[in-house]
Amino acid sequence: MNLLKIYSTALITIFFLSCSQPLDFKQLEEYTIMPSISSSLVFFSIDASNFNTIISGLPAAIEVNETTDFKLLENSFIKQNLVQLDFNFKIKNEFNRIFLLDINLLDAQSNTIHKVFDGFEISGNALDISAEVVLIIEDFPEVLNFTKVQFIIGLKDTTTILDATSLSKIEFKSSVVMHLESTI
Amino acid sequence: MRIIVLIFTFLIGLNSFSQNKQVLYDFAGLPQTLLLNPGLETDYKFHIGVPLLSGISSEIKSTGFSLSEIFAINNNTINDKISTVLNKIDANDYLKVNTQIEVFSAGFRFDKKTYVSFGFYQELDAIGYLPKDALTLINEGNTSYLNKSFSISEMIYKLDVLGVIHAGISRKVSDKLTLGGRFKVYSSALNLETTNNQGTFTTRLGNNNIYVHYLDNVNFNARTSGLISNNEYISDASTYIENSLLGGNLGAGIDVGFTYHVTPQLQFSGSLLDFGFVQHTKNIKNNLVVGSYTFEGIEFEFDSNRNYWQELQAASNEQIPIVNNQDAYISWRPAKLNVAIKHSFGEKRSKYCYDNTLKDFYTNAFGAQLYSVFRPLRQQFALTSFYEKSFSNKLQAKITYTIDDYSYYNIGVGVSAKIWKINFYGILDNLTKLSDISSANNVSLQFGFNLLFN
Repeated sequence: MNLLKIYSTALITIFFLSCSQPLDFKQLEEYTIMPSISSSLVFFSIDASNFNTIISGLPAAIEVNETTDFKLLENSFIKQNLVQLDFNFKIKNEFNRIFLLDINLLDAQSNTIHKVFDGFEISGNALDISAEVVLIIEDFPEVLNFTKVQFIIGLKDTTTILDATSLSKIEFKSSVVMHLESTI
Repeated sequence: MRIIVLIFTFLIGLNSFSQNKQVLYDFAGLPQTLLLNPGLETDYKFHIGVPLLSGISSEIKSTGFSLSEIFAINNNTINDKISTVLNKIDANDYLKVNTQIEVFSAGFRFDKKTYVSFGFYQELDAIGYLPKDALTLINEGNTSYLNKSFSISEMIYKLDVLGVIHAGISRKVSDKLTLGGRFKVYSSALNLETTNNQGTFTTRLGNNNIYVHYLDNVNFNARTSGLISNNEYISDASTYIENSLLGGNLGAGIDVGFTYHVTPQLQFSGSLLDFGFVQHTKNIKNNLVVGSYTFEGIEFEFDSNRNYWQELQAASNEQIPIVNNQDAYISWRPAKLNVAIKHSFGEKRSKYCYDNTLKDFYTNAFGAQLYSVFRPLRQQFALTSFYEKSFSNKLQAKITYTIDDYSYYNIGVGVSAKIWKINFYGILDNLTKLSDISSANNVSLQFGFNLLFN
């Protein structure tokens, strides 16, 4: 049995000599992924015809109103881990008139739960308007229930209609950045 | 009692050590070497492996990072450490796990020239390449990576859990040449794999809107078998064990090998292992995504009463559909190649063989081995030089120096001893990292007990 003794001793010695610096696998519980996901949102280009109508035989200025579903927050991972929403807008107004813009976040029942813009003024002949609205979810938890976005845009001064022959346009672009934080 | 202590010590070590079968290759005439080359020579009458203990091997290997870089206790946060590793790795880096347990093995000499061996082992084999782009996207998102094309082709992984029943034959066809072959029946308990994917995801500044998102030429296929049955995950461990005992998806493969003595002192050997496949037909669920899709946002046409979101979903479903199916598929085993040259020298001794004749052997040998395994992305290689010493008929040792994907200075050592009819062997790898195995990319251990009868 001498060989067994020598062999066992040698191997056990090797195991005792081998060592590892202390590792802490529990650190993984503190690991937080923090992705910022950018997504395009709504865009449009509208001309004078969208803002003019005939009421009782007379030309009149109207506002335009459009709503779309936006159901990214129905994804449970996004909903549970969303910490901030950054809305970014780029607007080009070729008219020499001022417009007002409302952007509302609506819930599934179309109730307004947050006003991103409430009468945001779009100056005339402004070709490079940029705006950013940051919503910290902790401050506005109701935003987590938004499933629709509503846009309302109209002339500030509705007493004078736009020139129907004008080739001017309003171009609107938007995006959203969803900041998420999730532990493993 | 001593053996129990020894086994216990080994089992503790298994968690942190792994294998390097280059050390075991053609080492001391061990029965387990026949699983690495069925054409190797043996000189015993029959052998029986101690059930569940005749051959245990385990390896956990990684390229690009080591455990200590992530889990060491220091002042850096875990987020900082993972971020550093993510910056360091590339899509060629991978994490590999392989464990084999020989449930039983035995062999007998059919005649003077022929040795038959057979057995059953269970194997877990997994490799996952580190999809740096996907990890970056999950970790940081796309906001900071405008114009970067996140590659879907980096998503490559393959995991197999299977039982292998095998029977092989080694036949000495001349004084110089021994040929061998082994037939294997695979019973797969679990297979998860995705390979040969294509496509990119890119976010660019747009013209019509702020951003445009592109999913270009996506062809992604993730296959599973043995994981889901009747739309429910199989969570019962006994089902997996049963499936590895011919109850799962079956396949077949072969090992072939040879040994050729150029001179009495110069030997050349080689083998091709696991040239085979598994046909997956049961408990399959595959996910397939094919197509291209561009998203630049929702374009309003005021007062149109359109359901933009529904249109968006319909367009994406049409252009880049996600399809689930249960189509049968074939999974190839990772074939391995061994080639070795060995020069024996030193004192010439004799030992008794199975037929009570004396066989001459030299007490020393050195040589080189090349090992290669066919993996999804590319072949992996290991080049080993070795020195082997027989201290007596019953005690042999082998020391190796290996260069591979994980290390340029991997030193391994193996010892095989025989007391009465009991043979035991142990192999340790990457000895230079024994002082801090957590910072090693690979360390390995194999051991086993056999009964050898002359």
